[in-house]
Amino acid sequence: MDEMFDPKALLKSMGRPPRQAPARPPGSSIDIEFSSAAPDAGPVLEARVDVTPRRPSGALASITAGGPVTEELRRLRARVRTLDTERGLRCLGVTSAIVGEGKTTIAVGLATVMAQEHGARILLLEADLRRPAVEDSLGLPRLPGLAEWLDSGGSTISMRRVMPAGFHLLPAGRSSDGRHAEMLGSERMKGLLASARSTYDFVVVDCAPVMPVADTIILQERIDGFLFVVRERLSPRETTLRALERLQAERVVGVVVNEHRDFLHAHYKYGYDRYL
Amino acid sequence: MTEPAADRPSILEYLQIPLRRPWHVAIPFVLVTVLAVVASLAITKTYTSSTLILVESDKVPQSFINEGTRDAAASRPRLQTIRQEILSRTRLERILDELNPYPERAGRAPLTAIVEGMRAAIAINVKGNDSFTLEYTHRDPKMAQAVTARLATLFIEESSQARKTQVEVTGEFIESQLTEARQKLEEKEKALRQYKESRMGRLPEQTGANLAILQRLQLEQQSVSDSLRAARERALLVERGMSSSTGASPGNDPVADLTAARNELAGLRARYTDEHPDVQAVQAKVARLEKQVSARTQSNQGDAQLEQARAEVRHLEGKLADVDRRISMFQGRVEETPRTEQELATLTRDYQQLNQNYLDLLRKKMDAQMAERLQDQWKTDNFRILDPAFLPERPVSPNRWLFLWLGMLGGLVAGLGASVAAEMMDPTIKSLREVEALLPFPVLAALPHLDAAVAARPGKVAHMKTHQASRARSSGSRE
Repeated sequence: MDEMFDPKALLKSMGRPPRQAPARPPGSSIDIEFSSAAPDAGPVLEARVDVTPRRPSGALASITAGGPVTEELRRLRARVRTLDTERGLRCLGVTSAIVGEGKTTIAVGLATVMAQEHGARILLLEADLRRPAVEDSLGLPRLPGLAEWLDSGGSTISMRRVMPAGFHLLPAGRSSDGRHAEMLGSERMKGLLASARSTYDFVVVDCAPVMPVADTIILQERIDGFLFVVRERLSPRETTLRALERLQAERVVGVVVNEHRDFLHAHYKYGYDRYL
Repeated sequence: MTEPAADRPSILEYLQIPLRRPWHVAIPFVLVTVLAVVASLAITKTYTSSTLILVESDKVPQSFINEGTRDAAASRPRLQTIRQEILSRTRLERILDELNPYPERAGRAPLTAIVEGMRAAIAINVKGNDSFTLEYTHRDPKMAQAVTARLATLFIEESSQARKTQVEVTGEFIESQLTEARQKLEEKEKALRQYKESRMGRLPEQTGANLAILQRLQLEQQSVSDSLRAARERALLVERGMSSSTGASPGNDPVADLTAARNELAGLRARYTDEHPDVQAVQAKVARLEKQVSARTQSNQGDAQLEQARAEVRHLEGKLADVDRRISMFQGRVEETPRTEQELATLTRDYQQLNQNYLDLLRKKMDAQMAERLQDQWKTDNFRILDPAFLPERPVSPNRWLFLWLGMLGGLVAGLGASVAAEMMDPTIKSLREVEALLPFPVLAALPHLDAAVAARPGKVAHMKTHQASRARSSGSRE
């Protein structure tokens, strides 16, 4: 937490690769460092090094650029950590009312900044089986993920390791049939989440939007809390309110405003330009 | 971390609206401006010609015309009514006939509409107390000049004519009034005269004379009654004297005796001298008889005196009665005078009023005649063209700069309005403040606009790119 208020530390952690980042030789594909036995019939989670993206896409660039967005994400991280400490909140869903409000961006960003902390092991689980976007957002090639595992019935599931160290990703993958809601409500999914919770320090779940589909509603029982994303000038008031009604109120831990644009205040208010 | 929550949008939020929606501002702005410019180019050019007309006070010295005449005969129009006069339908129709400034509408549009259109093209501006400008706007500068000039001359001609007519009409009116007044006056005069005649002697102005007569009559009465008394006494005396002498006289006739005695005396004298005793005796007898006769004559004289005295008494009594009658008559007249005076006063008042009226009219008539003559001789025009209508060289409309500025202004207003309207109709959540007000959950973070954040820090992005590239090189590729 102290790091939040130490600009020099921020600067260091932003501009360079983390010191703890394991410099892996190009051949090692599977990292069994995090492999663990499932506590209650959950799958074994494996991790493997992913291809580092050649160039980060727009969202990731902004997140890692060290600008106001990053600062705001760190603030969010601090809040989430507080929630973890106070309520034992370990598995946090990120959702919103409709498509395009920035769930994936915020989930990726949050996971990234959380992984930047020393020794933190963070899993980003993509539960939006219909429109997977995390890999694209990170500039990674699409690989099989959650959907294939839920279909297959295997006992081991591979996590993709991306930068920074400690950031593991389970993408949505591609499902063969349309029973997304049933898949997310299945026992395998429940076991997977339990394993993830025990294996990682924190699990961020990138969920489907609330209004178009029921996936997130089904999933909400297995997730400790939700961050509800509202994008300024995109989220309709009525729709947002109705979406929040569908979620259990006690599971919504807070709102994250995305694309916040404050013409007259932004720059002098935070003073990044002068400060950095 | 977040802004303090407020219930209502702040002014700053409203100011942000055009910044957030620049297209909503720019498109109407450009459209309206272009439209205004196109309109200014498309609108027909119009030209305005104007003339300055001076309203002069009367040239005739005011002392020649008194107040009444000026009121009655002066036709100096007030500046306020000039507008109505110039814009009168008959006048405009006449000009339409003469000059036909709207040939394209003539015969097609109703005349009323054309007159209205012309009326709208005429402007009259009163300048100060004694001048006004007359303007006419038309698309043809020559026609603008012609119509302006014709309007001015026509107005001046007609107002002069109207003024003359008015003077004449006033004269006629006064004349008729005068005749009527004269008739009334004569009637009244006649009535008054008749009344005076019927009341002759009782008139107030005769009171003095009456009183004087009365006084004189009373004196007369006094003297007559004195004379009467004296006459009565004399008559009494005569009567008494008569009765004392009548008893002594004998019955024979002394006069005959006297005549015989005289005859005897005459005979005796013829024969005798006067010393003859017979003559002397007869002389004595004659003398005695003469005495007798004279005494007898005296007694006859007394009768006559008595008769005379009585006649005088009768005469005086009659005179006294006459005087008394006259006194009572004059007293009656004097007593009647106040009533007469009252009646007369009423009659006289009416008469005097009529007379005054008549005199007034007479004076006015003379004034009117004077004014008429002045009108003819002095040619007292009220209006003079100071600046004749000119040929306009530059169009007054359209004012292209004005169109441009107004278009830009209107466009800006429309743009701002459009942006605000769009913002109002937009159902989305607009701001952090709105999120906080709307949603019952805490706002944990507010991520700035990503593009803006990147754009604001190009150096950082460049740095990141090289950093990412180095990482990519160092980590290598597996797939």
